[in-house]
Amino acid sequence: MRNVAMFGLIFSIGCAKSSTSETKAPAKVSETIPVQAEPKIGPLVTLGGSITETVFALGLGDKVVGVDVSSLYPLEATKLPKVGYYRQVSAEGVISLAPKMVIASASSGPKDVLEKITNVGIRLESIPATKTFAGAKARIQSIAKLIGAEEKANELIAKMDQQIQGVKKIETPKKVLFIYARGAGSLNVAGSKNAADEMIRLAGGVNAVSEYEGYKPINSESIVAAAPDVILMTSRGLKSVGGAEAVTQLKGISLTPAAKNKAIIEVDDLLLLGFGPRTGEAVTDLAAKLNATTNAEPKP
Amino acid sequence: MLEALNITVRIDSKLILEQVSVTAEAGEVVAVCGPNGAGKSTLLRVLSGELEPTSGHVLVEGRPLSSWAPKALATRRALLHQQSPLSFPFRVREVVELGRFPYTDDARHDDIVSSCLEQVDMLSMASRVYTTLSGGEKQRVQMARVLAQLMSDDQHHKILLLDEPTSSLDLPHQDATLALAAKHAREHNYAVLVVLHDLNLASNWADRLIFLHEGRLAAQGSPSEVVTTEVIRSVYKLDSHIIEHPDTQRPLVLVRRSPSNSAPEIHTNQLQILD
Amino acid sequence: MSRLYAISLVLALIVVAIMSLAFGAMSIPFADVVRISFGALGLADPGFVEPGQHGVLMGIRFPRTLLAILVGGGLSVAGALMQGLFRNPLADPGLLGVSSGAALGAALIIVLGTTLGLSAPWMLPVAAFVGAVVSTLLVMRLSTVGSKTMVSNMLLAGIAINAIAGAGTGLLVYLADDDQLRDLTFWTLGSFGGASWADIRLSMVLIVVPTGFALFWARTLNVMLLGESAAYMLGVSIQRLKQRIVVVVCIVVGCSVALSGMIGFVGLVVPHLCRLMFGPDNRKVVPASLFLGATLLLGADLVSRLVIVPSELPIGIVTSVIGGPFFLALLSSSRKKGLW
Repeated sequence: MRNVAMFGLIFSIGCAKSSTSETKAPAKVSETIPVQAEPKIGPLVTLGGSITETVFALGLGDKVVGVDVSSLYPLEATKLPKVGYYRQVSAEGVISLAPKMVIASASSGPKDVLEKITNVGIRLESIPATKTFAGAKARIQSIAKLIGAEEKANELIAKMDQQIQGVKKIETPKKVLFIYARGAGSLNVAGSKNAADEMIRLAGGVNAVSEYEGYKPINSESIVAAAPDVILMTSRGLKSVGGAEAVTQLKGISLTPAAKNKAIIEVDDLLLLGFGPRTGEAVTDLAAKLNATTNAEPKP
Repeated sequence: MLEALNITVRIDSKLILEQVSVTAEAGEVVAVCGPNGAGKSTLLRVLSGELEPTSGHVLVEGRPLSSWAPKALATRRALLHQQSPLSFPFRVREVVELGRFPYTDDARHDDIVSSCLEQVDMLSMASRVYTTLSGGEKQRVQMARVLAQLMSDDQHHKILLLDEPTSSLDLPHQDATLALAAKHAREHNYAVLVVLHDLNLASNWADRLIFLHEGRLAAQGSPSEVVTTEVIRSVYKLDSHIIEHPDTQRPLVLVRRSPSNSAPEIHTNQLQILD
Repeated sequence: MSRLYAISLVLALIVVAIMSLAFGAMSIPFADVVRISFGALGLADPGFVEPGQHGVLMGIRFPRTLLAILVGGGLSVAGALMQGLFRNPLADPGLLGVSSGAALGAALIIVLGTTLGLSAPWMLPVAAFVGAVVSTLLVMRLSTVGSKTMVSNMLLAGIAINAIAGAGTGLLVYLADDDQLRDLTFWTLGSFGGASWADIRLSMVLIVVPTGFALFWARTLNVMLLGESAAYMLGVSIQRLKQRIVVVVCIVVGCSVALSGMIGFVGLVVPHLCRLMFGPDNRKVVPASLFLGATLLLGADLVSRLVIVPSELPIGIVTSVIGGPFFLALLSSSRKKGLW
């Protein structure tokens, strides 16, 4: 509910801005406020992987004319023109694609560049980032409202809830260590209050590290002390250090139960951390993988 | 004219110059001589205003140096350094033109620069790149630059300070450079003060010689008064013959080659190392 | 020969500036570009103007083009001043700690801005500028004994300040989350993407005015090349000149970095190129650097926004990719000629 209210606030600011702006903002702005489902919407540019994914999941992928480079799912999205990374957008690049609306992650920028986009009368809607399941659902609804796809959104959300409820609770939860890697020299481990932590919890696991918030590089000794049963990594992260085999041989990790059992779980980056419409799917997938490692463990 | 009164320079409690007073009158060539480390270059830096003495005063036209505006002073006194760090590939002519910095009227610059280059026998090399010249050629170009700095129509008294201007020069150019300085003293009333190691060159061209020894004034006077075996022994610890130049009748110094002449310090040191 | 080079430099700037206005991700017919530009300048009645075209041209391309010209010219003149001051053709404003100080200021806002409540958009350039000024003042202070600033000490103090600022930035990098790290990286690589008319107004004061002063010091800079002592003999007030150069370099580079991020290589390479064309005389090198720097940076910006349309490459990558090999080639050919 809070998110919806916030959305309303952002939306009204957006409207106020476009109507007061000097340039002739299209009078159509008011028409785009959806009165009922399936109104006509113009071309869209989406900034941020989860936002692009949501728009496609809501069945309006054919309206998207441009995305940012972090939009890696679905495959159709990756074939669209790129306007830069969502935090370093090219103003003229966006404008040249002539969208009616830009749906952007709230952390998009730089601010002065976004301003240039709104200055030529393009509507900019920013959607707050989220690291929780509830937030993921609220975000889908916010986006659906913008593009008039509420019905589809309700379907999606119902399916996500179903998937989450279907996760089997494990009696002795596994200790999971999430490593965000960009090459073997840069290993960051997830503490509490971040997307990875939330996903581990949803899938019925326990985060092996809770001493700090966010992601931090931690030393080999701390990894040994954390004694994770499972190591969770993103696909790109795993690739950057040279695969699962290489991970089990990394200093510190090699001494953990996870390395001994070769319990390395790999999940696609955007799927795991994006909190997009596939979150339910991601949680079931992760839970299944966690259970698989449980079974593989020799029983006493 | 240039006057220095009771100059003392102390750097990090080391006494470099102690109570040194010298003057250079208009039209006069004064040579400053003495062994290495006697304080000759320091004296020149003090006289030029670059170095503030610990105590004592320097007067130019009767006014203390510190009261002169830098540009006004630059039209009255010039200093030729032993070495120039110039490492950018200027043409020879451009280097000499830098000497015209204190003047803003552009009309005669080219003529003055050419004339100065001609005086040091470098006009034919005017368009060469300075950094490709030999050491001696560079020294002559810098001499031309310093002359160009002082050359003007104003009637000011000019002071020319030269720090070992002949150190990289061949024999004819050594003589020519001193002759040039002397000519400016005679014809244009420059006060010339020149640091020289070659006592015979100093004796031949200077009206007055000043001997510095361990930061103090050891002797001063006309060549025949101070170029003597006594002064040379006390300043350089060296035995010598003094003879007369057949043309100028000025004293010439010949270092004695007899066993009684004590070996210079550096030799005894080497012997000690050999032991 | 010199005159030919000079005319080509001016023409090149005009041509590249027109190209910079005419080309971009959005295709605007050249006739419309001319019409809208003349209309905006009040030279002609523009007639019907499509708002999108007007917005792109007046809101994006014009400020961007002008800022690239001002920053390119300013950084290059600052480079020429530094090379004169240090009597070294490889000196660079970075020696004063300007860039590392600015980077520390920027990193502080990018990483801790939200926590400290300093996340307003104008805080980043202000912090970068303050960082540049503070580190330069420190370098100046550390290298001044009594009333004399020693250039050799300046070099050492600059190295120390660079190291300290670098350590500070390193600490902030450690604390940064992923998005902040990305922002920091992008900032380090520079961009004119956010150029606005307000930036241009600010640059008029902080880049154009000090650079204009510096143009009058060219003759003095020549004399400085003879060595400080010889320059003093010729009537140069050495200490005052040093202070002025440091102040101008600090303000110009600080402002450039604040508005467009770090753009390396221009300050070093452009004066050098100008010397190869015109010889070492600063009366030619300084104004030539102004034009060549503006032209090259403008060209690099044009490349950066055309090469992966509709996206953009950070300009620092373009300047280094083009500048690096070009500079090496020049260096080896001029070495053969025995000029350096």
